[in-house]
Amino acid sequence: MMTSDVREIVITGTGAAASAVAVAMAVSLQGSGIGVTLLLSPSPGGPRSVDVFRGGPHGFHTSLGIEEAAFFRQSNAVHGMGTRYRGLSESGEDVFVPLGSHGMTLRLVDFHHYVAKLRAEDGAQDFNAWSAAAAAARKGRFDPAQANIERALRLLEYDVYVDHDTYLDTMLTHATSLGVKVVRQSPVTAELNAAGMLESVTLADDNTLHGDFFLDCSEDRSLISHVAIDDEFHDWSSWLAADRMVSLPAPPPATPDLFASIEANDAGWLLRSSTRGLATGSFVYDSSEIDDKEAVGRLATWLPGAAPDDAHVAQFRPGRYARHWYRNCVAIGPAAAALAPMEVSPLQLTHSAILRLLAMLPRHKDSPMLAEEFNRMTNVEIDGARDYQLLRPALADRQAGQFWQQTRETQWPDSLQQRIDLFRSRGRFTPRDHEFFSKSNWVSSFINFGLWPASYDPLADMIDEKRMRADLVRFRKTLQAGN
Amino acid sequence: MQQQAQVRQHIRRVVVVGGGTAGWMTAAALSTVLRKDICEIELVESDAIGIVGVGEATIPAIHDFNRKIGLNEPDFMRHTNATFKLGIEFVDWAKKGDAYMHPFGHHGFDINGVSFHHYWLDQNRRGSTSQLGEYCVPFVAAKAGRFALPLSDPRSVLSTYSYAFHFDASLYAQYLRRVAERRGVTRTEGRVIDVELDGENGYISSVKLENGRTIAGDLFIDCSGFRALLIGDTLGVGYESWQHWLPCDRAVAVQSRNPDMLDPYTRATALNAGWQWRIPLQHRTGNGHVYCSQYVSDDEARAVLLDNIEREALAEPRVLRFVAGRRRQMWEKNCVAIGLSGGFLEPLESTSIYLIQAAIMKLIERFPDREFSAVDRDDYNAQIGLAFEQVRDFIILHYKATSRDDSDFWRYCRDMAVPDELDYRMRSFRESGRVIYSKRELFVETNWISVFLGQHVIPECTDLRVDCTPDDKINAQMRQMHEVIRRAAASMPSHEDTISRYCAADGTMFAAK
Repeated sequence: MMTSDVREIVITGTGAAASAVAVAMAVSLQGSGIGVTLLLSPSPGGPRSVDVFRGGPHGFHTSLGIEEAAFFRQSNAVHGMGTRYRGLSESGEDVFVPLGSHGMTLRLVDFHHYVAKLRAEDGAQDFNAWSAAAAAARKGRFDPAQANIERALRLLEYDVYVDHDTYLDTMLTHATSLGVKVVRQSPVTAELNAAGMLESVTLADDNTLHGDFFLDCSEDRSLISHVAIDDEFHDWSSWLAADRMVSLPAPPPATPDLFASIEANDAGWLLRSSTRGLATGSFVYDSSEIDDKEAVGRLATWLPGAAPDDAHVAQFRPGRYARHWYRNCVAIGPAAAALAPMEVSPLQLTHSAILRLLAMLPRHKDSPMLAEEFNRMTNVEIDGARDYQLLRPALADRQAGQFWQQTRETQWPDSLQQRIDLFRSRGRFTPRDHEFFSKSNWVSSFINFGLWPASYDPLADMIDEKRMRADLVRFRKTLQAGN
Repeated sequence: MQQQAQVRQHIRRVVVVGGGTAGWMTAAALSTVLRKDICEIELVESDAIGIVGVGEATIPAIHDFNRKIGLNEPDFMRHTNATFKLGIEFVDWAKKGDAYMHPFGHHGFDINGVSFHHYWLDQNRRGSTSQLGEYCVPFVAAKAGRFALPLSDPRSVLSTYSYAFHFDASLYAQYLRRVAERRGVTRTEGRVIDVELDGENGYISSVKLENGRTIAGDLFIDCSGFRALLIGDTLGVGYESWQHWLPCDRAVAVQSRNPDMLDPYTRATALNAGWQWRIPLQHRTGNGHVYCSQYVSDDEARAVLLDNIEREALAEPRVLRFVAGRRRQMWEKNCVAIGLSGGFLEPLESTSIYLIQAAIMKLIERFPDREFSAVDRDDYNAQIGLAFEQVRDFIILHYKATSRDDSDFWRYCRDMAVPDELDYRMRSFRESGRVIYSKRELFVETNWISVFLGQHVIPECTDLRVDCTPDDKINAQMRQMHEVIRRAAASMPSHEDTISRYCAADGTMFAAK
């Protein structure tokens, strides 16, 4: 067997994210003799909340050997078909962005070009009439058998809303059964060796814990901050000024929505998602506009049945660090970047980072190429997710409130502006590597937020028009009838 | 509804300048997606101008192109004297006496989600002498001279490989010409002597032929080969040379009589100042010596070629000159350069036809109207540029990863600085055995592994997860894989039998069988 100086892995963080990381490590290192310890910090109080798995947890959970159906039964989970936006457009109309693709590619031409053609010739079109997810959301019904077929055809992807506490319990049970040592304490300080590698952490009870490789999933960067002393932070507050978030639990609606709701507000945005047992509402806002008390008040008014006394306040600085893997420590999820929840869920970035890291686990504490590549891929992914989220304020035309008005003058990231320009011209979209959000997600967002291309693909005029129209009608009718 | 009033500014005429492989591939592909009543396609070529007929060897990506234009495989193979190809054998590259194959299939199977090569490296380090190729169906079959079409059942080991073709590129062009003409493409015989530009925007408005005829168009495809008549001569787009990384600048080619058995693979043998290809077709074998004129004269190169061929030459060797590199913009104004006018990379990895195909498919993905969206054009140039650079880097690796010290040419290659992206990939593989690639690239993990390991770029460590499986279990699994693959390959018919039954060309030994 090849030598390896990584024998003990130490993970630190809070809640479901850190626990999921521990499970992932333990599963994929089973049999290697490498020890996994989870330093689980007590969560900072706060009420029960709903976690969102973007794109569904199948990929992640399947690779961990977690049986999805059982997990669903235990956790009262709800499938999410997309996000409904309210108050972002001047017209006052809701915008629904469903997941999955609209229609199907015909004769090498992406489906949205045909709808753009119908729109040019016949007038307004409801793009979501060709979305399986939008159909399910409208009916408020999710049929797993139908969903499996549609998922196989790539017509459907979905989010999953799950009770955080239930999820945490599931993960911890799983971790323990896999031999993960769970220590319910936070690191107080960390010790480096002469080479600058992390060697151990000291806990509140003065015990010292040795490790060879460290994963930091903590919001306060309790480990990575010891090695990443010169790290640069890319501040994104000039693009979206929100820096605070209040959250409240609420009783679940009688029939939970199969989507997340977002509503723009003068000082930021409100969002809500629910499981069968619980709803959570949050208000993400700019603290220079309103104070916490006002924010809690607005959120409580918006969220039916919410108890304002249970408010949990979090502050953040939007942005990401330049590097995430430093020496023998990797910052993951909340330790790597802060992106206010809208389209991107914090758990999604953690899951994705961990899947990437599993294939890059080092044998040596000092593995600069692995670190460099992990950093590169992670940054591409996080920046792509940021752009996807910023696309909303970039396309929204809400006038009310300073918070939204200033987005009119914002100079968006070049990477985002290029995508907008490319789509605006002829409805084109070129995918990039290591991105989380797919072409379908982007096209769904562009069009539902009102950005139709100036002209559609000329090749859409080159196929038999009668047949094309019949295909489109049939497709739409199938979705309306289905489920 | 601003578009409602607007009359769509469709491209009404596409003019393809130059026949040959690139020209007819373009015409055939465009004729499958353009409606004739909206957009006509005219191809101008001159019988007096010879074609280079690049790439008699292909890679599996060609299936995608052939399927899109609706070719019938046995029929097209019969008409192009095609044989099957399971990979490329590289002889004498990292050092003299070496041989390895870049096969069209995986080496081994993942164990617990970890790529097979990590286990193989681990076993090798403790003294196992098994060859990587023993775990690869197309390698074992190719070396035994066997070929069968892969199965589609993913449970069968006979579904774990792909294949490509060796064919006569000029016959492929002729075959595609018939396809294109059947679909309404007009072919015009003649030599272009002048090009007219629009006085306002500098776009090409027409080309003028020797016989006085003028052919106008909205979109021009430059398939004029190395001459780059439109993109270079007329529009003045410069050429970016990559000669410092790929110093070979000439090739001398000759056809020879076939041996009794036709290997189902291409062979590339490294020589003192270049390398030599061997490509078996149904009726003859193609050979060529690619060399760097700084280190060897044309006469010497020719002598070496003739000395190395296995059977007698069927014609006089022909010399070709080139500079590795690409056009700075492959799409400029209303002109797209496809084929040699857009760039050239030596055929070491049989990518010439692939790069034509990529240029065509990317054009179809962004097919313009008469407004010529500038952002679409920029996006095209960025994407096709990237495709060229990724193939370039893969080819450079063969020269760089060598310990040959027997000629100035090889010492230069060994010591040269390589592009940053390649350097990064090499450093990454050395450190951890991990291949950096993206799903959108032509060459993915399995391709890079073949060449890295084939040329002794050996990782310092393997994936940590290899330690999760006990040795005896890995040993047993590897032995089983080897056995399954050996038996699967032995069950295949010979390459010659498959050709006889599937695609024998008239007038060859196969038709007689």
